[in-house]
This record gives sequence, C-alpha cells and structure tokens, in this order.
Amino acid sequence: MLTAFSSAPFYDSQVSLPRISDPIPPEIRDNPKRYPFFKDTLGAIDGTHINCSPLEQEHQAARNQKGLLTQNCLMVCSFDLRFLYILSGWEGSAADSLVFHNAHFTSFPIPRGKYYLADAGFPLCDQLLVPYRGVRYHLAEWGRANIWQVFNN
Amino acid sequence: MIERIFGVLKRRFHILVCPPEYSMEIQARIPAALCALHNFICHSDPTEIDDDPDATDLASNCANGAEVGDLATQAINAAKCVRMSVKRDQIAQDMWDSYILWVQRGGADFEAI
Repeated sequence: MLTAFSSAPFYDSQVSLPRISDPIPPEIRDNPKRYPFFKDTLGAIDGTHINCSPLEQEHQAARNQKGLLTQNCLMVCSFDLRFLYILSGWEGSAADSLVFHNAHFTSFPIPRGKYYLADAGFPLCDQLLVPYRGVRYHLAEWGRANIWQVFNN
Repeated sequence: MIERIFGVLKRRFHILVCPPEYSMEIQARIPAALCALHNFICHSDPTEIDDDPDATDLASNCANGAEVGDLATQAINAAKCVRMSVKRDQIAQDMWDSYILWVQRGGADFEAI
C-alpha cells in the first residue's frame, strides 16, 4: 500500500511540478499586493522535520537541532496548498540548504527565470527568493515601514 | 503558507508525529506517500468531484522533463547570488514604489497591510 502511494502511477499523477506553460496562479494574479511583483513565482519551499525511529547507529545523524530524532523532508507547495515536490529521508542533522542543493541536482528541475519563495535557511540564488536578513519585525517598528519590510511582508 | 500545510498534514496523518518502528527505507517513503494522498484528497473533494475537468486527465498530468525546467548543473556561486540579489532589490523597489503610491492616495499605513 505504501509503495503504491509513494511511486508511479499514483504518486506521479498527484504530485507533479508546475509546467512552464502554466498560467500565473489566481492567488498571485488577483492580489494587487502580490501582482505583478511575484508573477514568476511558482510556489513555496521549506523543510520540515518528521519524527522517525532510526537504527541505533544512525541516531547521531538523525538528531536535529532540537535534539529530536527526525528526518528532514524538503517539500514544495503551490499557492493552492498542493504538494509539488517532496524529498524525504534526509537525516535530521542535514540543513535545509543542503537538502535543496541535493534535490536541485538530482530530481527537482526549476525553469529558467522562475523561482520559489523560501525562508532564510535557504541560499539566495537564481531559483530561490529569500527574505532580507536582519530586518526586524518588532511591533513598535511597524509604523515606520521601510523598503525591506514591505518586501518581506 | 507552507508552514500551514505542514500543520494540516501532520494533524491529518498522525503517523508523522509518532513514528512506527519500520526500517528507514520505509519511513522515508511515508511522507511522500501521504503528500500524494493529501493532493488526491484535495483533488477529489466530494463537493467538486462532479464538475472537475481534470478528473479524467490524471494519467497525462505527469509532465516530462522539458516542460518543468532544468536541473542544476553547477553549484551555487557568487554570480548567481548577485543576480538574484539584484532581482530581489528590483522587486522590493517596485513594491515600495507601489506602496508609496498607495499611501499617497490615502491608504492606511503599513500596520494595516
């Protein structure tokens, strides 16, 4: 059952990357705060830690920064909350950027000129748009917006 | 947004929170299978099942390599970083201009966004 759900044809029919020819998603197109700024955005990418129970000798590698035994899963989702890509099975000690790096080399193609939104744990490169670092979100400062805050928001 | 979908997934499938004692090969397949299942449930929501135009198109939904983009051929380097940084600055500038315009027209301040 598990194999049936996690391999072709079921998996491929449910989880597929956006095509270059796909139109701009309505969540972007119909929101004046997002369009036209994010018209080349395909979705969002992030890693999540999922608890696992590895063999004794793999415990060290699977321990994440919070001390739990996990696997780090890289997931990509679209704006209508559907999964586009999943890479699971990385040890919990692996950083998000490393997992992305591996995925992009092996099985996660990204069209030229398009990009995904990512958080600050990912590298800034052609295919990933990450927020500005060092911009503080203290409530008292919100009244005085600056250019970076408008972007990160 | 993506944090929200993780929450949805973990609440819907409790196996992601309490791991079973399977081998790691099997455990590594579980999230992928559940994500596919999640998409399937979204896709086949009973309220939409009748007028879903893609329902018969599932088999052809699997895009081939040329349609979805390119894999990385080299590591991330400084040039790529600078290129995207310029692009990000441009987007931020455009958004800022639009924000200023909006405030000038009498829109609420940043807090209300």
